[in-house]
Amino acid sequence: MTLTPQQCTFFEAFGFLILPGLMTDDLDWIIEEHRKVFEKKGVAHDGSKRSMIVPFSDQSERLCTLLDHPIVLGVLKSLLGDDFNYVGGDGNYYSGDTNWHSDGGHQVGLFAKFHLYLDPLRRDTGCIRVIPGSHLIGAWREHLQQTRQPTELLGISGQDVPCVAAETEPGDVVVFNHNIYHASFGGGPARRHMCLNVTSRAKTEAEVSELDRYLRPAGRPKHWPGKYAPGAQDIMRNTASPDRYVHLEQVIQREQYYLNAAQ
Amino acid sequence: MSLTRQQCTFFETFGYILLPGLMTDDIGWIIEEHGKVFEKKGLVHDGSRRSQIVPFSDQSERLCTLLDHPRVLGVLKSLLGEDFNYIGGDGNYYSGDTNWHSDGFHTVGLYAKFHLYLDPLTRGTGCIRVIPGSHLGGPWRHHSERARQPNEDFGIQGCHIPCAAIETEPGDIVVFNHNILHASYGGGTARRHFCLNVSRRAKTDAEIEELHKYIRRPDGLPRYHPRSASVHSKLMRRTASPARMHHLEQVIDCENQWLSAGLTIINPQQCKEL
Repeated sequence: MTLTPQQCTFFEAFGFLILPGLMTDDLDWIIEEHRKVFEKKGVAHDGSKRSMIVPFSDQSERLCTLLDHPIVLGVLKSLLGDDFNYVGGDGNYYSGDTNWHSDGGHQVGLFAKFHLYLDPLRRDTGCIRVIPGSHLIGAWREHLQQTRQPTELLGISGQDVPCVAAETEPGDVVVFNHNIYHASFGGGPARRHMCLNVTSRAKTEAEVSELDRYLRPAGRPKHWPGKYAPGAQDIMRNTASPDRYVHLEQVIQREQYYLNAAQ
Repeated sequence: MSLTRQQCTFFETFGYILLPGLMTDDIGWIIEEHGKVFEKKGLVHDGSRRSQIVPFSDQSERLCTLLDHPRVLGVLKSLLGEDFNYIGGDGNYYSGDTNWHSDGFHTVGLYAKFHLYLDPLTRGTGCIRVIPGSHLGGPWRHHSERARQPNEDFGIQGCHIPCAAIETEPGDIVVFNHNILHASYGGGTARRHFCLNVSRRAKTDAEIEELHKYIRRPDGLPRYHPRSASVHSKLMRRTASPARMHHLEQVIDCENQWLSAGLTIINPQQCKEL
């Protein structure tokens, strides 16, 4: 399975792509595994605020197989190249609103999120909203910093910022560029979600530096201590086939580089 | 009446602004005048395609007074400055879809449209849709231009392009930057509309040249030729108070410059003066 050139162009232009029903056939076990990971980690969501586990898919051998899934691979390879990197992901019970923000402002490389929202979501019940084109570095993106303070700067509430509401049913997939401005309003206290963060393979020096900055914010590994904690298991890597390893290897190389440098 | 600083920032950022109910108190006579102008021009709209009259407000002495209306002036002065220019406008019965386009791409100056949609319009019944931010140059404009060929470039119909659908009731006002990409889908065959085109007063050489290019076509003829020798009507100018004349004077000055330079090549007989 691959995306069409037009779908890829849409993603490049608007910064997001909705793929209805892409994972419908796998939804039941995905939802079950989502529940199990929270149970395994002892995180009981009480709805008062967001509950998050990172990394997420990596905690479940079955969820790790999403990186072997032909449909998932088809989408990610179409958008980011055959040698894309998997760079972790989070799983959530969302609660309430999430104000406008982006997950990065990468000027080199392509960083994206493959989202699975596991409950039906509409514009006013917490679906993801995005501002098309806000992923592109330039004047539009600069202006949109104002959405972080919409009342003070634009005289409107965050939910009235012009945007696209990506309404979804469980089984739908939303992929967006990390740079895109996104938010969510009106949602209930227990909205289930998980995502895979992915990047294009870093090939230039600048892209490798950008990847390193992503993997090591503030100078140490992302989600520290995470898999570096005593007793932590690296299910994702330990169960990886050679094909899956292609999408893990650059991150492993960069981690090894920093470990060697530290010694 | 003036817009807030935040409203102006919204307009600068997104390229448009919706002002619900701004002209509701006046909508009765505005709608009547719209009908009268079409009647006066003998233009019977049959719904098969768009019917348009330019310039429009200029055809009716009462509609000319929109340029004296405190609310209209308040909005336009807030967005374009105290000395904004009125540069004509069109009146329409729209029919069917209008695909993605912009009304120009000015890299200097600020050109905008003050729209009155005289029928209730929703996303699926022909309201104006805009691509926020597309009025700005740069990579977003470059990418969003592909909305002109949505099937070829994105594999979708124009009505599925991500956008903001500005749903309106009669009396609401939409102002948008001329540069913004806009469209309309699903509308009926007789959607009433008219607009005032406005610009910021041209101050630099480049802005003055841009204004000249707007009111005069590349072939040297006036923008609305042969329907009009100017973007203004004689009626608009003849009935103008000094205050209104302030918003007409720079266009008049440009036209006088052409006359002085012997650039006007219009045969008055070819033009329908108002």
